Amino acid sequence: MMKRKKQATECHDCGEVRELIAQYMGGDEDNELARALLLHAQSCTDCARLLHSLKRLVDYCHLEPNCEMPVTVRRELWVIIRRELYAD
Amino acid sequence: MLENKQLAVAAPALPVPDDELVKRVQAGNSEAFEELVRRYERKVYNITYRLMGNEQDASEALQDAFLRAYRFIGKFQFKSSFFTWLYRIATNVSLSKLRKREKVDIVSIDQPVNEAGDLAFEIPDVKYGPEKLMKQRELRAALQKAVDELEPDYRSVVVLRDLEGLSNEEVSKVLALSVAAVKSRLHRGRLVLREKLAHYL
Repeated sequence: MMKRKKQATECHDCGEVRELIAQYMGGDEDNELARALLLHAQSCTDCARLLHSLKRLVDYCHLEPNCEMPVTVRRELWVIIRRELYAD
Repeated sequence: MLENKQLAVAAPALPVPDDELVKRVQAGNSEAFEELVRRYERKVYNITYRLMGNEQDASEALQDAFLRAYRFIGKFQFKSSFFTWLYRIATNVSLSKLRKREKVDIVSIDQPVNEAGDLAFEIPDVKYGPEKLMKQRELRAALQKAVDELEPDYRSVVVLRDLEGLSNEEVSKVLALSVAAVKSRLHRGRLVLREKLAHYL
């Protein structure tokens, strides 16, 4: 953990930073990692764009509403289920 | 006095936990399985729709998933939560169908989502109005299309994690993968989506 944080705060190599972006976006959202990424992103347009667009993408996905199950799909499901449950 | 009156009011019944319903099904109670279907039919349809990309295939996968769940529920040993087990069945059924489906481009003419959900989507810099609604529909269609085009291994992770909101740990249980593998596939899948949706991001 410490090793990773050290890398996050010290490295300026985009390849390494992109791995850290993957970790960050994958759920490892500790503050030090976030701070390091933001610091790097302030001086690197490409990494900033990558981080920003991934965050936007995830936000879009999270806001995506559930699909509406069509009435016909539901009706067919229940016909099949009841046939299975009460076959005798 | 008021206190007595309040006490006289029956508390609303708490929903029966999934595990209890499963035990009842295992003991031969069919109605308990109906309750489980009612509880999860929409969530499972979401998963099958996102994975299959069209209504007809999603409907078949939905039916197969619940039939399999019923036929194998006797073997459920409560080592995981019921929903994890059910989602695993639904995902496996869908992925199996996807793999069998030869590489035929199917263009869905189904409405991918309900109209009522439109307003839940926030798109910065566009004010409410027809333009925004159009942009939302456009983005939603583009998102589903991009998800449809993902490799099944990436698609399943992205659908469960980003669209269904499961945690990394839950996805790892559903797909029988390590958490590290989930994170890796998730990132690769997101990078592909990012490229395909670059216009909107």
